Amino acid sequence: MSSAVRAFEPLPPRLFARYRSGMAKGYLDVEDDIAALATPPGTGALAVVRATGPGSVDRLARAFSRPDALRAAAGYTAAYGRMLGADGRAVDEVVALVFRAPASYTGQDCVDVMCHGGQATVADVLDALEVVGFRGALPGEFTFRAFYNGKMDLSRAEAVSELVSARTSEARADAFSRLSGGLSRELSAIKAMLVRAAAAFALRLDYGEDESPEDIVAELPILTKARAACEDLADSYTVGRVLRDGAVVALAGRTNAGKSSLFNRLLKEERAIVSSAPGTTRDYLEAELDLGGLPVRLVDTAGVRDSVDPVEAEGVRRSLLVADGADAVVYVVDATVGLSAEDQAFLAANPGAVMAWNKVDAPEAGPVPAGWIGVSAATGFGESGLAASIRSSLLGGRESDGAATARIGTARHRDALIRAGSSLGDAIAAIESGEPVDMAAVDVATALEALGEITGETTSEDILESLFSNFCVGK
Amino acid sequence: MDYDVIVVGGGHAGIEAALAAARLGRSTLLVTQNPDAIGRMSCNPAIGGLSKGNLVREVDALGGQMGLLIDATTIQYRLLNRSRGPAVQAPRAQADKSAYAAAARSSVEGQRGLRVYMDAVTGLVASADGARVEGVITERGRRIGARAVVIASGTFMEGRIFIGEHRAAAGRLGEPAALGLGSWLRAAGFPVGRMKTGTPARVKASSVDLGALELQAGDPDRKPFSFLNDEATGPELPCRITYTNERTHAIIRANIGRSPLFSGDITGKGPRYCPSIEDKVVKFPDRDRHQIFVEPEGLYTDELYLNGLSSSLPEEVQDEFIRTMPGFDEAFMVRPGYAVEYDYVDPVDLYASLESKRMAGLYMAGQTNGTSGYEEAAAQGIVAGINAALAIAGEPPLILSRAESYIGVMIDDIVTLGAKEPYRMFTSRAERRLALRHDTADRRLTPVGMRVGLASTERAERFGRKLEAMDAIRALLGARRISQEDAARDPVFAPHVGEGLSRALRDPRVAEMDVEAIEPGAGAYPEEWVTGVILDLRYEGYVAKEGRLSARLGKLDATRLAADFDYSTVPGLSSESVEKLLACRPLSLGQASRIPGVRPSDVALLAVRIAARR
Ligand SMILES: Cc1cc2nc3c(=O)[nH]c(=O)nc-3n(C[C@H](O)[C@H](O)[C@H](O)COP(=O)(O)OP(=O)(O)OC[C@H]3O[C@@H](n4cnc5c(N)ncnc54)[C@H](O)[C@@H]3O)c2cc1C
Ligand SMILES: Nc1nc2c(ncn2[C@@H]2O[C@H](COP(=O)(O)OP(=O)(O)OP(=O)(O)O)[C@@H](O)[C@H]2O)c(=O)[nH]1
Ligand SMILES: [Mg+2]
Repeated sequence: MSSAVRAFEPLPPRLFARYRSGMAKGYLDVEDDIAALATPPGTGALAVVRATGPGSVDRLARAFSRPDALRAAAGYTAAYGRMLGADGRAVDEVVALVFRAPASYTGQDCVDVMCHGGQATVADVLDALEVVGFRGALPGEFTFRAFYNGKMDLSRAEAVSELVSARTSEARADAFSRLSGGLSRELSAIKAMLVRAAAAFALRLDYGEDESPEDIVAELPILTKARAACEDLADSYTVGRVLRDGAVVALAGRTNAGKSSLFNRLLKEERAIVSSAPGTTRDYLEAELDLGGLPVRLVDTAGVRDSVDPVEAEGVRRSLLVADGADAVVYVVDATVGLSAEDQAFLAANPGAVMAWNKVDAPEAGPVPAGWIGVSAATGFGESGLAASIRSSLLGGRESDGAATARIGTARHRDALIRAGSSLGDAIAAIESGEPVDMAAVDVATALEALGEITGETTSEDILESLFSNFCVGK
Repeated sequence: MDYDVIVVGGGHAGIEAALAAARLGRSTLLVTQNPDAIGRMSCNPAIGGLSKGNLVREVDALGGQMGLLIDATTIQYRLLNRSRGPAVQAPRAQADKSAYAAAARSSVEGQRGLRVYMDAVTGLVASADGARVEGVITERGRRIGARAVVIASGTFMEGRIFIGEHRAAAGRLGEPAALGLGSWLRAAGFPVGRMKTGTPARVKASSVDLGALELQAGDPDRKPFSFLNDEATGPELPCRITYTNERTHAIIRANIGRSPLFSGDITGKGPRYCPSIEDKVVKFPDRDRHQIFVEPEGLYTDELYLNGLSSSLPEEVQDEFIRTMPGFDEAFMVRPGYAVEYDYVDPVDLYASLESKRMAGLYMAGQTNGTSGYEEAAAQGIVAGINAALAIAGEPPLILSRAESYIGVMIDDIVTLGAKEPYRMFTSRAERRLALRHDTADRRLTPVGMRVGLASTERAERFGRKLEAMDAIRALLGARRISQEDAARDPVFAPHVGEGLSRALRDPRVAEMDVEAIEPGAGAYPEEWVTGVILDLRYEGYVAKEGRLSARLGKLDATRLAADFDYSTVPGLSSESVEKLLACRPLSLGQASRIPGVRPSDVALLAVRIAARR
């Protein structure tokens, strides 16, 4: 039972750890030939090992059973052959897909080696590559090269990082819309407003009081509008983050309310142990779930009740902590028992909780009170309504409406938008308090600069550094 | 070599260049077509104005001449934009035109190590490989050797003036064009282009009913431009304001086809910001009037300058439309307005030192670089003169940054963006305008002038005293506590009881009050210094914000790029970017980032490349 399902761990580092050890190499060594596993580790029919660098094709040919075929391969063509290990023995049968510079992901020659899935095979292939001199890629190094070689601008590079780690199709669509410029469009609209205001200020900076209009109050509406747009976009981070990182949804409630049963129902598998004995779940249990497109980590917790058993008391304490840290809480009440004082206390403290009135199938179940969702973990009744409520609780009422609405996905973006919004607030305050136009102009320029950080028009080395190190290996 | 430095042209750029080079100990020759015309004001009889006033004070702070010249010849002074913020205030003075030129001439003639020679330069002497300038060739056939040459030819290089159908080879009305040099530069491969500008008619003051015009008086409290002067005194003449009307516009419209601007005879690009009256009438058909400032040209002349009425229509048309303005019914036109078209050299061909990328030792300054305005010319002149002298001494060039001066902004703009139309200084071009207040010019640049060796001992001493005094003022204002009595006397002080005055001054209502009435000790110091301290205090927060905003700019500007950096080896730069970078050869990453067409990701790429090489 303590074997909690930890699906949100980063990729196991084992596969590339040794390539990194003793390596003082960095992103800037762009002439190095590098390689890494590009598909998620684990068992699958196929795995892709990606190699790139100016000499990557030649180098790879040295570990390939048909070197000449590989060397001769034109861009976008595949060569079939065997990867050869250090002792010259074949380690796997592979298809090598060749991309020629600059028409490749990284802008350098690039080979995608499709080998058989399975960690052992992949490790052998990577070993074979190491033998001929490939260096294990750093996180994001492929994308860094794409950026370095002018194949991709920053905000797109960032979206790639999210696309790769996106867990559900909606999250992927969101990252993809950013990749294809959805966010840029939204930002351009805000920037256009600010540029207009800045131009109006410049007019007053450049012409004397007898030549140009004095009243900068006229610019207030547009500044107010731009500020609201920045704030809205900053708020969309919650949604963007949920899509990207997933949300934690905790099932809470008194013991025996049916939390574990609901957990299993939502997961569509018998994961948690269910029993009629109160206090069955002692530790907490979690699993990954695609909730109508939202990546969700569902957590079952120990039922809340005063406990004398020290182990259970610890479990209860931890469960309450999980509920505290969750993005949404589903509070389950046994309809055959009804609301207790403890329930009411919990709900008063967690007014946003989704309230599930469980066991409505049971003959002795009380009527569903207003604001509650009647469900039955036993029959599945009310399951879709419950899922919908969880979704809207997570999205804060912002039901996602596809790619039409741009969303921001990173804390860096949110931070920039918040700064932009607050600078605009300063500008508005300065104008309202009668400060001269030169002051408000500084604030508007600051806001524009902050927005530029998102689109990559304002780039500082610090942004570059932090950006690429957040990537996973193989991209 | 006959001279260390030869300066070609005795206009506002040439004067500063020649004086700076000579003051830095270089034997200098100023070759100009006519020494009588040294420092002549081609167009309006005024120095300064928004952002231009800042330039004048910066030139002065470095150890230049323009501030002293205008202080000596002012006939009216105004601080513009008093009602607006400190960044957009600037001094402007009407000059006695002929007195200004006389003062300029005498400063040049009185300078040790500087000689004036009357001739026109028609070509340059270059080293055998063409890579270095070695002197000049003149109209009268002389070859004069020099280690550095500064071209400051103004509107004279292949100048041509237009008045209706009339054409003449002239740089200013009545002054012959300087022919030859433009063709020489073209033949040598320099990017020479044509620009045009225009000037309004001058009318006889006693033929105008001045009483019918609105009066525009100067400020009663005149302030000097030069940090070397404690006070500004002198005669006072008023300006006046009048307006065009529908009749004026009708006459202009009826004759528009006779304007060389519209007939297509002038191909050069004119200044967008200083359009001719025919331009204004055509572009703003809805405006029923345009404001005209009527400015005196000097104490000993009866000519008036009609600011805003620049025109190249035929004389009789100008005559006719001038008389439609109230008070001008009987006006007599002494000189007609005209347009002038001239050769300029695209300044992307220069490094930020104003040295040519094509020919070492050759510098260009002023209107030759596609700028317009006396102040812009003077500011480039002083930089070109300093750098010519520094180069001869084997020292690195002086490149002023955008963060420290309007001069830096202007030069960075023109050498990075080039000049497609006449360039003039604007406040909004300066990112750090709150810090670049005109009254802070000495604090920003006098230390530079001292380092370079251009600031005199007198200037350095005065500057030291001022810094000490400003510290004392700051201490004084900090020590003065706002008391209950103050609050009782004036409720404005109520929220500040217990605070130091320097803190309370951040409240605009306190800042507006007479500081001497609160702290009489402030009366012991010059007003500009006290005001300077107060402005520093009051806008400290904004200046800091502005500083943070341009910190990135500063970082990029501080990242040097080699002039011979091979951009074609950088994969990922588009061929368009490579072409632009190679054409501009920026000296810093900041400059590269401002080249139009160079994308932010190109800059990020370069940043990464440079980091990789280290
Ligand atoms: C008709 C007209 C209208 C103008 N209108 C405006 C305006 O509206 N707004 C504005 O800001 N500015 C205007 N100006 C521009 C202003 O006069 C110039 O910007 C300023 O004077 C430029 O200074 P400078 O030193 O570059 O050249 P100038 O003041 O033109 O001086 C150049 C000097 O160099 C000499 N010279 C040139 N070539 C040679 C040579 N080959 N050999 C020897 N001597 C040479 C000339 O004789 C002249 O004395 C106008 C100028 C003119 C002529
Ligand atoms: N009829 C009916 N019985 C249910 C339903 N849901 C749960 N039960 C029963 O209620 C009992 C408790 O279920 P659990 O899911 O273990 O309850 P829990 O909330 O996880 O309890 P603890 O882990 O002890 O806190 C079991 O006997 C379930 O079979 C339901 O919807 N209908
Ligand atoms: Mg349970």
